[in-house]
Amino acid sequence: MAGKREVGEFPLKVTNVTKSYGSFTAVNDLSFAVRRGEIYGFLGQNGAGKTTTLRMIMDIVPPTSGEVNVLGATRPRTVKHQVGYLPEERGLYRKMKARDTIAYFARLKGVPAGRARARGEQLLEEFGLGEFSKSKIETLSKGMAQKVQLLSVIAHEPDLIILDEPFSGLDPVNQKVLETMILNLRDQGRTIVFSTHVMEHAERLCDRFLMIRKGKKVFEGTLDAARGMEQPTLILQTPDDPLPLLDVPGVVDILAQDKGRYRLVIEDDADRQAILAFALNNNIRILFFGQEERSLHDIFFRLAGAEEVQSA
Amino acid sequence: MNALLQLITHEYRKYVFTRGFLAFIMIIPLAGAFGAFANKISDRASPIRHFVVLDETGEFIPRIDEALADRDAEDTLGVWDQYAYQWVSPNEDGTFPLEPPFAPGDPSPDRASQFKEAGGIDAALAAAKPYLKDGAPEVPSVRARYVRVGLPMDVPAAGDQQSQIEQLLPYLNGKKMLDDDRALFAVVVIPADIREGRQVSFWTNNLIASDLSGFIGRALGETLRNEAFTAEGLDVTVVDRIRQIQVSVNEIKADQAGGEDGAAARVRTVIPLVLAYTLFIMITSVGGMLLTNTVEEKSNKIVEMLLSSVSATQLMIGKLVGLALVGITMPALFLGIGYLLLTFFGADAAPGTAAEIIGAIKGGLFGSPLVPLFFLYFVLGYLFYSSIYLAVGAMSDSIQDAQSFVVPLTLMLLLPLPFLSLVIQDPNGIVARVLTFIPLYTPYAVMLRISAQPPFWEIAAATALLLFVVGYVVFTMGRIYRKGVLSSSGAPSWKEFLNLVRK
Repeated sequence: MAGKREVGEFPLKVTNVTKSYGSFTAVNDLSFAVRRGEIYGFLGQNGAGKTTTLRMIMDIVPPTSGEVNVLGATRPRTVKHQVGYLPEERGLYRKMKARDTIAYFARLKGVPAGRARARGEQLLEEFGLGEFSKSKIETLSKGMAQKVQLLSVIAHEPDLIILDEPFSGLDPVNQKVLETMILNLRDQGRTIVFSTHVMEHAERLCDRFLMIRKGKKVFEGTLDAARGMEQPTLILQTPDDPLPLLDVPGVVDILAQDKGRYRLVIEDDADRQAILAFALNNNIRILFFGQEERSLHDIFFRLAGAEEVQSA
Repeated sequence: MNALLQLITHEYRKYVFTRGFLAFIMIIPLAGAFGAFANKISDRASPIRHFVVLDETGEFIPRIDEALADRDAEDTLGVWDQYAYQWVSPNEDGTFPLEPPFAPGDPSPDRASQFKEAGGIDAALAAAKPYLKDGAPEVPSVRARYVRVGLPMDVPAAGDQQSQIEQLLPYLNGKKMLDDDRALFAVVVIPADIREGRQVSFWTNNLIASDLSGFIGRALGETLRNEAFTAEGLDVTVVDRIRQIQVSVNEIKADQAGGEDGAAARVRTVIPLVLAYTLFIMITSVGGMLLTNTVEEKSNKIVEMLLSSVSATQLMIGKLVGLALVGITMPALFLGIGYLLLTFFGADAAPGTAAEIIGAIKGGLFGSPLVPLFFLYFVLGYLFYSSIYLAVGAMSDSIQDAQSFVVPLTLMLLLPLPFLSLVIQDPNGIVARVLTFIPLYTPYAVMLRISAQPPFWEIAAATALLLFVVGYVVFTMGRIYRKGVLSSSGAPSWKEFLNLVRK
């Protein structure tokens, strides 16, 4: 096994990467960088180019142009032993025992036989599958098999872990287990990149994330930064007519939502206290008044999928 | 390198360390042993056929009894000869220290009757006593296979033939038994006009076992012929003597220095045929394993997991090598065991015995380039065929998808089968030479030709051509494999496949 590479500040850097299949461009001039020790979300609709990008990172398909740098290596294959990859299309040998499965994938990553087996036992024990260590995969439930799959991705203790849609196919309980597992891995100092189209997971887990749409980057940064890109809105709940509030400086628009619930689009520097005072002075009774927290879900719709939604 | 080794080990263990494979390895020698056992059993346990003769002429029953006695004498002689070959120590020159008719060899009816008159097995054993090897067992008893019995008590001997047969039918159908619980197998009816009609009736419930009816026909035919000779004024004993004149043809294979005996030479010719056949079976069956294996990995979606650790090329090489080793394991095991057995049992090869044949097998197998060639051609033929399978498997999401490719490929391999007999008949003829130079058929053609000492340049050139073509095919199929293994575009089409080959 070649010497271990230093992880560096950016374990993963993608620079101007394009991937075309004939006339179809799956990934278009994509650039981003993942920092050491963070959980990095990779968001996009189905077909946005997530899997293709991850495959290029893993050196499974070569980019048409651009450069992928993994742990300082431009040929990602040379550092495969330090990277763990859970593909979206995943499966196991049905006739193989759980422990042997984990050990086999670890061995492919250069872990010596004895250690690989011990690691298999230990991980299964740790994740509550100790008693199934010698069971064949075909006898396990789907959730258990998925766990075994994940364990075989991390068995060789990789520095960089890339998970393609890791939550798909898991029930809510196991999704929670996986979330905890990802957080633990980060706490051990590992860097995790995962793709998803379920925003709740990304919202809870990611330090930073990347949104792509039709192969192009539409956003990269923290959740707060994403929220900052949105015009702030206030939510007002009242049985009375709120339209007089339009006279307050900084209030741009008032949109009716559900019954008695209104959305106030305001300028950044609008004085929220002035709006509240104006309402009280004009006999607009207030049942609720507050800043709206934009969910990643909304941002995702706007950034990564708005066009499709509107045309639908 | 380490990862490649892992892949190979994984593939190998997956097939070899399974109950199925071990069972398969056990089955072949077991089947052989069982065959030998069944042979012995059927010798021992073949039923005694009891039959009744209704003779309207009243002349033929003694003739049939004579024929039965002759037959028993020949059987007895056969048993003695086999025993003597095995247990009587021969002289240094290979002859036996016994006087005729006791010395084993000539199986003629004359010697059989002399043997019987000289006292049969008891006398022979007494004569051979001083020369018996240590631990010689008793001579196996000889049983008469056909026994003529008289009419059962409840069938009147004087009745008319029709009612006699009717009364015998329950015996033939197993509803009644003869004395001592013996079953009646057949009733032979000899009509009064047998000399003119030359036909007898044979009543039985078992038309499949035709051995007894054949025997009766031969015995009666012999009787009628002898009558005809006598009628022409010829002495039957003279005719018999003349009839026993025989010329034996000693086939000698010309290419062996000093010639080689027929049986041994034939063994040498059969071995390549067996090996070529084994080669075909191995290549197709291991190729099939590889196809299922590739499709399985694709449909189970394991392949991308693997590709995160190894390259597609490594994966492909790992599979090809792993399964090649699986394929080699079995013949290597059998050849190894076979060599030991042949060495162990073939130690003292007395002429004209089984040991000589064993020696010929051993010489034919291990004394010629056949075995190394077998493995060389297995590897080349396997790579040729399997790399195509691998590419097809990589393009298919299910076995059904792959099916449309597999059938034509197998047919292509089977295509020259009708010509193989031509290759055997004329190993250096035009068909043989043409087949030698068609890479897909080179392995089989060369295996079949090798004992006829074909020109060395032909074999070398054909093998070089095969090597080149295999290299090209593996390279091209490797490209298709790498492209196909991650795509999921449904069933591949020939058009698509050929397009990929051309690219």
